[in-house]
Amino acid sequence: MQILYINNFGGGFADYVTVAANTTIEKFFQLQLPNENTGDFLIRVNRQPVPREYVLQENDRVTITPTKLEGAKI
Amino acid sequence: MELIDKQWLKLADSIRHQLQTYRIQQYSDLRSLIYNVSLPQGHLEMIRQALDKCSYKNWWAAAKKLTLKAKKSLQDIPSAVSKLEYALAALDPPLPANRDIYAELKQIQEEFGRLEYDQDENILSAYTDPIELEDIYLGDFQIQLHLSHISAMKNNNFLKVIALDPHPAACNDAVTHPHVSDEYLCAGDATASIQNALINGRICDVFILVRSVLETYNSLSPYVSLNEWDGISCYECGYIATEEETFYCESCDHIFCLECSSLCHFCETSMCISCLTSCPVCEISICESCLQTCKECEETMCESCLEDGLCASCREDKETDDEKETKEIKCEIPSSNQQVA
Repeated sequence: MQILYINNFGGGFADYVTVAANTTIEKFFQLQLPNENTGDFLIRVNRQPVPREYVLQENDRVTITPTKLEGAKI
Repeated sequence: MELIDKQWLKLADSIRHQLQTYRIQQYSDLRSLIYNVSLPQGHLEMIRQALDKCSYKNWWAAAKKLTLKAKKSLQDIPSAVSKLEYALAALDPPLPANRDIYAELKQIQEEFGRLEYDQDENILSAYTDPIELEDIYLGDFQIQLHLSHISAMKNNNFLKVIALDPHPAACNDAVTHPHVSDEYLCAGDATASIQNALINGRICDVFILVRSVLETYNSLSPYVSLNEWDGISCYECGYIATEEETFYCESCDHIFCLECSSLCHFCETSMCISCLTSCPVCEISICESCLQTCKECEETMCESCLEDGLCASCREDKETDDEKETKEIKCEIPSSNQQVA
């Protein structure tokens, strides 16, 4: 099935991705960002916080945004 | 002001209109990007035609020059193609619908607790909780999205960060956060994500990303580091000074205020007054490295107080000895009038 995945980690691009049926949001995160910790990210499905065992549905909108981003000086 | 639903919808429409204006500008920019790709190709076509002529007429020296020109034209193409690809990718997602932008505004309200809109200035604002980084309390911040500037977002001036309970750096009032100066955020790693979120109407993501930057400290690139946020303490007297008012002692590797430091008169190295000494003769400030030794008495002093490697006292003694020696030599040599027995 297809979901809209907005990855605000890096370039901040949005794209439709194919996921297997019965994929949980936690599993999806591990597939997309295998070296990262869920605690360092804000994860929203259809603009709402969801539990880690939430099972993704067709056309869900998933946003993953880092809570730690390094600023700089110009 | 806080809005009712109807006003949110109107605001969403206004934001969409700004995004549309920006999209039109992007289409306009596309023309010059396409031109930058086609121009070197045009050059290459001309070179191809010229090479045809060279082959026909056996002009091999000219052919050699043309290959150099072809190389140069080719070098410009990858960069131009890359920029064009990026610009085209940015135009891929469709403009969000009003209902999507409305949903974004509602989400900001849920994520931040409140969202305000200044109709006169056309500014959307969300508020952070108080922020503390490495035990330095910075206060809470207002994140402002200047909607009128969205359509000109290349200048990056669509965002401002206002300290509501300022605890700025001791050395610079304008720096209210390690990555905020004069109310402008340097978003660093988040810059591309913020721009992409804004271009695609993901307004809530813009605010969340800004908050993420405010809640993270990058010690490698702050306007003022948190170590020096409350100023720099003099190692000698404890006085809190700004960076401009302090000096580094190259001898003991500590930092000192103006009162507790000085310069070596000779090599001009800055040092603390404990590591600096003074010439015992003329009392000028001098570092240990610049002290020199009298060849005779081995007293240390500055080079100005030595002449030919001797201090004034030893020079005087030497002159006295030299005079005495000269007199003695004169007495030993017999005069030509004396008869030898």
